[in-house]
Amino acid sequence: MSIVTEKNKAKKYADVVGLEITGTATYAVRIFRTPRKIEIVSVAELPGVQLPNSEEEVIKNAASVVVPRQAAAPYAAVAVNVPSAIMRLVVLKKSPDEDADAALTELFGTSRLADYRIGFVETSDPDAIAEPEAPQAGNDSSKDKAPEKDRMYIACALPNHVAENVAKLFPEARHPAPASLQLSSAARLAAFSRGPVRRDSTALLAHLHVSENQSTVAIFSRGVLVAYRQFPMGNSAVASRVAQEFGLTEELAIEMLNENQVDPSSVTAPVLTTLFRQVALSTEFVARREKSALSGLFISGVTTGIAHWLKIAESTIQTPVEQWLPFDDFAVRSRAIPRTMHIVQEKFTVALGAAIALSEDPEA
Amino acid sequence: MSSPILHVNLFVDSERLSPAPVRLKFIMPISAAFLAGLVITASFVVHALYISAESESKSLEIDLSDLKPKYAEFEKLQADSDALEASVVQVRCAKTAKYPIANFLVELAKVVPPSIQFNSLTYEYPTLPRAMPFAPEPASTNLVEEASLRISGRTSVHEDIAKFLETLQAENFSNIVKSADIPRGSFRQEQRKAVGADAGDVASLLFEVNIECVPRKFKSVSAKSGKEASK
Repeated sequence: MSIVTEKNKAKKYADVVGLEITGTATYAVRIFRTPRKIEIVSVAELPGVQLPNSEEEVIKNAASVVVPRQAAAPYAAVAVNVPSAIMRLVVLKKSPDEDADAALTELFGTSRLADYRIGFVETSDPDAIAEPEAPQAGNDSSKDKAPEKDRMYIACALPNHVAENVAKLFPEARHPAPASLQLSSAARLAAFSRGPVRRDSTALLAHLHVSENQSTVAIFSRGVLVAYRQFPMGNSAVASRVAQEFGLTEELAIEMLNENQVDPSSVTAPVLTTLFRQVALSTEFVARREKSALSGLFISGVTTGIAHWLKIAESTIQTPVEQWLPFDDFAVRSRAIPRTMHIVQEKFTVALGAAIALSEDPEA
Repeated sequence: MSSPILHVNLFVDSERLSPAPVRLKFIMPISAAFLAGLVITASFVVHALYISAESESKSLEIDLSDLKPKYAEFEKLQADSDALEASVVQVRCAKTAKYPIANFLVELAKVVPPSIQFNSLTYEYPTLPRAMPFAPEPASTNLVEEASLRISGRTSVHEDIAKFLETLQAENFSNIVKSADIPRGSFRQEQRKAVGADAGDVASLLFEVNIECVPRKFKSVSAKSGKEASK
């Protein structure tokens, strides 16, 4: 039995393993946090776990996640991504605790969804909110009440049956014990916020993550997430376009793009330029609002020739663009990461972010 | 500006487990169940003990009510036994304190002058008061018993009375006689006819002698020594 006091609370989640559970693989990153740094201790790729897509679907996968000893920290931060999960950046006048109705409307829109587990976290530091301006002479109404400022929240929603299923994936009384359940997209943002954003905390930085069928762009201004957009275009759009043009299967097209055998710019440019123009519109809007200029764009998740993506991005957005490799921003214990896994380190971004989020959350 | 960590935890508290092999959520119900079981068992045991003690107490009360008349009878028998034992002891004591009265009478007959005629000789000893008229005479518990002899008689020669009194106080009777005296006013003149047809009236003197006997000393002797003494 362990008793958590204020003194040892900070140490409780110092040793954490982040786990991203997908249907094809489970990615594990164990970190150890000290007051000065976050160190990656071990990484592992484990068998995938099928999560239920609907409440009616019953999957017997209890106690099926067994983490190898070197990666088995006392606590686990789990990240999942299911089609029914929702993550949005919402703007609220009041905190969700004060006005839950407005918060839910912002999250779900007009169609309220039942049986969801919902969580909010404010993106800006509440203690760092600027003091309201002094009231004008003669403006009596402003004397009594300070003007309400818009507050941004990351809102996450996950079906209950998925969360309950994830909780049962871990054997009891063994390491790791599940302590946090996050959405993959939120965990990725956490990793980025402790990577390039912390490295340059005064700049306006954007992160574009490309997944199979969609892309998301997250924009951080002075360390705070200020914009989050989704675009319905991902790796498969590029792969199918190249496959169609060259008469290949999508697998061969992806292989060709990654090996730089031919220059696919003429084929991929129309697709990618459309995407990057939308990204540029978003970043320019935020830059004007924040009275700043975009300092850099980081791209991750690209499986269809990152070199072509970077080239087109730079020409479209007119700003430094680079591929984000998550392990580069953290200390790595010697021999913690096998060479084969270092090459595919982007796959461990979510697991790393989940572990960091749990480890650094003072209220966890 | 510090950058807040973007951590949205969708686990509810009950789903967040502890890595400790011993879980509070298991230990608490088990401990509670164990304690509850202990309390229930203890209460059953106490209740059973109470019932057992109660029934035992009732049976003892019943036995006691049965025993009360028997005990009263026993007490009565015990008292009778004690009384009889005391009597036996007293008899043994009396045996050791008996007067050699026969020898005394024989010696007395020898020393009585011919002119003296005894009318009566009474041996007096103290009697204890009786609680019940028909109860058996209780045995004396005195260690010393005062006794006295009263002799009444007549004589025609009054000097012989003085001689008789002296003889009684002589050494021969010292084992019986402690003192002897003639109570005041006990002398009386008597006129009676002499024996024979032509005999006239004879004048004689009636007298009384009180003899204070040597006290009888009762010795307490054991049953064994009593038996030996009787042999």
